[in-house]
This record gives sequence, structure tokens and C-alpha cells, in this order.
Amino acid sequence: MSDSQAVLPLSRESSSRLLPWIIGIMVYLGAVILAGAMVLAAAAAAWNDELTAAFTVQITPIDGEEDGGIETRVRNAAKMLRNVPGVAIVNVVPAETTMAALEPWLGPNLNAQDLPLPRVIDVRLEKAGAVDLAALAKQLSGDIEGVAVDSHEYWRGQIESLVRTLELLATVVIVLIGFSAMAAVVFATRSGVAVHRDVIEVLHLIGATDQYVAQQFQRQAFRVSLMGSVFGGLLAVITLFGFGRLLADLDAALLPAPSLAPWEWIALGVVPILACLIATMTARLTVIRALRQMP
Amino acid sequence: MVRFENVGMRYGAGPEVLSDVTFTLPPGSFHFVTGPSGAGKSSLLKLMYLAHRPSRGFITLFSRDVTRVPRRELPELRRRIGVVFQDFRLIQHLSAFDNVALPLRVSGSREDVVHKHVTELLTWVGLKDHLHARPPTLSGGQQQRIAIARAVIAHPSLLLADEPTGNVDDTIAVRLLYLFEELNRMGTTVVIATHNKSLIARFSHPVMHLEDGELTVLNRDAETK
Repeated sequence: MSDSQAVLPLSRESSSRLLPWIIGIMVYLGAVILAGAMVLAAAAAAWNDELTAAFTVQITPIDGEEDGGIETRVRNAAKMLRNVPGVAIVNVVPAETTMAALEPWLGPNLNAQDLPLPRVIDVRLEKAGAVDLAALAKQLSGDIEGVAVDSHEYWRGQIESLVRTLELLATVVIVLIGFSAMAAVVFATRSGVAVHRDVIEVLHLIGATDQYVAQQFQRQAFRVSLMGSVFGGLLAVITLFGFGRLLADLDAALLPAPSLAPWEWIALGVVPILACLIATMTARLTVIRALRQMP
Repeated sequence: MVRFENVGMRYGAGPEVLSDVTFTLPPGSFHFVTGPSGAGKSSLLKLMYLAHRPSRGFITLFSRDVTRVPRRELPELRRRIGVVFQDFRLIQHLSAFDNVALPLRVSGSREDVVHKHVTELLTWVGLKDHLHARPPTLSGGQQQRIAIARAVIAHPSLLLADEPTGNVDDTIAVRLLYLFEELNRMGTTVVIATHNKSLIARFSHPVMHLEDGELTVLNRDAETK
């Protein structure tokens, strides 16, 4: 029997003509959101690694301290830090750099002598957790007055919380997209059962099982979901490449690298396959359930 | 083969269209069911081809109590029954060939077997030149022959026909009855619902008479006079 002579002419229905588009859009949205979540998770992991493998030492001015006193404390602190095992780089941030960083807020005519600005030492570790920061902070503050160690814990917590929230949001949206696609398949399938009720009755009366009838709907659901998935998947790939190129052109250092690892591309490839499976199984279960109401 | 015991049937909450119907059809028998329009002939056949369940009583088919048989077992029983529906119930978008092939395909026959048997049967009923024609392009008589071919293609144990000769002239009607007799000789139990008394008179098979939902006559002489 040729395709045009399928026992149930499901491909001629209007709902069948719309379904590939609906599934295509769902696959597109699902793939783009999943890609976004994966890029964000990778960026957050990179940020986290960077923050845990570094800390900042601040040396604050002391009232009545003689000229050059703070410089002496900065040098001593830097010397101590360079001798700590696990410390890779100790970078004393020049006072001018600190001033330059504040210029957008405080204006260009700022005089370093007028403000009790702390001096900053940027410290990079050989690897995350290579130094016991609490012990180091205690040792530094014991030996040098006015020293504070910032482990970036607050920022790490904030970023982690933001990323978790966004991941949860992405998961919820993907699940909702899945449910929407299922609802569309259920609607199209029920419509098909209603439209072809007479033919289904004849099939039953000549001995067709529910599975035989369900197969007709399954095949159609698979066919249209495959069309939609290919369309949505290709569109998602084009979008991701385009977005990647756009970010690369921006040369924005703060934005994460938009590239996906090979396993992440595989995960994206699972989205259309999953869409086909969900559509096919949803059609099958919907038909079987509807057929049970028939004699 | 078929046994009805005090069977009653109603559609929904409506009145009974069949009341206390009791009869037994032995294997290999040939019966006519007759009676006026609305007497319940089609309803009786619907019970026999398992399109409906009775509202009361017992029906035994192929030694199974079909009033209690689980739904999942119905397809297997239905495959042993061939039905010629009053309105043919052909699938309009399928060709004559595909309509006739359906019972074989739903039971999983190989495509080469399907092709051989369907072509042979359609040739036999005079539709060799219309294998790929769709029902709407065929006459009522041709559609009826397709319906009959579909009913007999799988060599059913029980053949039920609801007014099978309603749309054909007497010559073709008699020829179709001979086809049913041929199947009957091969062991198929045949039940034909018709109100064509002249046709019934040409054959000597027993007649069941239905009137107002009750099976009142099982007397050959009384019915054909």
C-alpha cells in the first residue's frame, strides 16, 4: 500500500499540516534554551575556577601613619605572600591603577593624597584551594597592621546562586515546551481519531487490533515530528553559530566564550530525537486511550 | 457456532430493539434472516459481528461467551467473521484492491499472498479491470461486490451479510447467493439478512423471521409464502 493510500489518510488533515511547524518551533526553542544553559553553566564554572584560584589582599591606610608607611606594609605583605607555598603570582596593584578604576565615579581631578584609598595586592594561586586562606589571613594580620584578605567568597556565592536560578528556569521552560508539544500532538491525534472514527470502526470489525490502528497514528506522528525536528534543529544550529559569531565580533572579555563542547553538541542533537520519541509515544498512548472507549 | 439465549439489546437508554431472542445456528448452516424494515435484522447482525454487546442474555460464538469476552480478545474473534454491511462501509480513499486486502493485512498476511488472493477474488467477482479504482468511481453494484469480496477474502468461519443484494439486479443477486452457497459448502456458516422474499424463495435454506425485535418464526414455509 503506497503512502498516499494509507488506511487512515492522516497526512491530509489540517492538524497534521500544522504539527511539523509546532514541533519545529518547540525543538528550536528547546535547543536554543538548552544551549544557552550549557554556555552559562560553562561560563559560571570558568568564573568560579578563576575566583577560587585567586584572592585579594587589601592594606588600608592608618591614621597618623608617616609618609611611605603604607608602601612599606605593602612591600612586606607582598614579600610574605611570595614565600607562601602554592602562591603563583603576587601582583601589587599600583595606586595609579586604583585611582584610574575610581575615576569614572569620582572624576578626573582626584588626588591620591586626599583619599584614604587602600592598596591592593592581587594574588593568583597555582591551583584552587592550594592555600589555607583563613590561616594566611590570620598570619598576615598578625604581622602587618591594617591587612584584610578577600577570598571572593561573596561573589562566588552570588554567581553560583544566579547560575542555579537560570538553570532551574531553563529546565522549567524546556519542560513546559515539552508539555506544549505533547498537548499539540494529543490534540492532533484526538482530532484524527474523531475524523476517522468510521474507518477505525470498520478496521476493528474486520479484526484490526488497537495496536494496528495506533501504528497508523504513530507513523504519522513520527513523520511529522521528524520533519519538524529537522527544521527546528537546523534553525537552532544556524542561530547558535550566528550568535557565536556575533559575540566573537564583540570581543567582550566579560561575556563567556559561546562555544560548545562536543558532548554539548551531542546533547543538543538529542533534543530533536527526544521530540520525535515524545510525539510518537504521545500519539500512541492517546490513540490507545481513545480506542478503549470504542466497542 | 452461534447461540443466542434470551438476548435483549437496546441502544443507550432507548427501548429494546431485540427482546428475548433465542436460537442456535449449527456450524456449516445457512440461514436467512427476514422481517420488515426496523424489525431488528441489522441489530441482530451487529450482535453477531461483535459491534455491540447485548443488554441482557448470553451469546456464544465459536464456543466462547462473547458477552463476557475481554475487549483485547475481540479482534481474534472478529477475524473469523466476514461481514457485508448494508451500506458497504468501504474505505473511500482506498482502491478496490486495498479495500479487499484489508482483512488479510490486519491479520499480518505476507504481501505476495495478499496480492495473489485479492487479484483472484476481484477477478472472480468481475472487477479485474477495476483493481485500482476507488469506491466513489464505481457503481453501487460494483461497490457491493467489493464489500462481499472483502468479507470473504479471509475465508471466515461465519459470514454475515446485511441486505447484500440490495443494489444489484436479480441475476447478480442470484450469482452472489451462489457464491455464499459455495462458501457454505466449504464449511462457512452463513447468515443473510434480507427482505427480498423472491430471492429467499429460490433457495431452500431455513429462514428466521424478526418482527418488533422478537424472533417469531423459524418456519420456512410460513415465511416464503
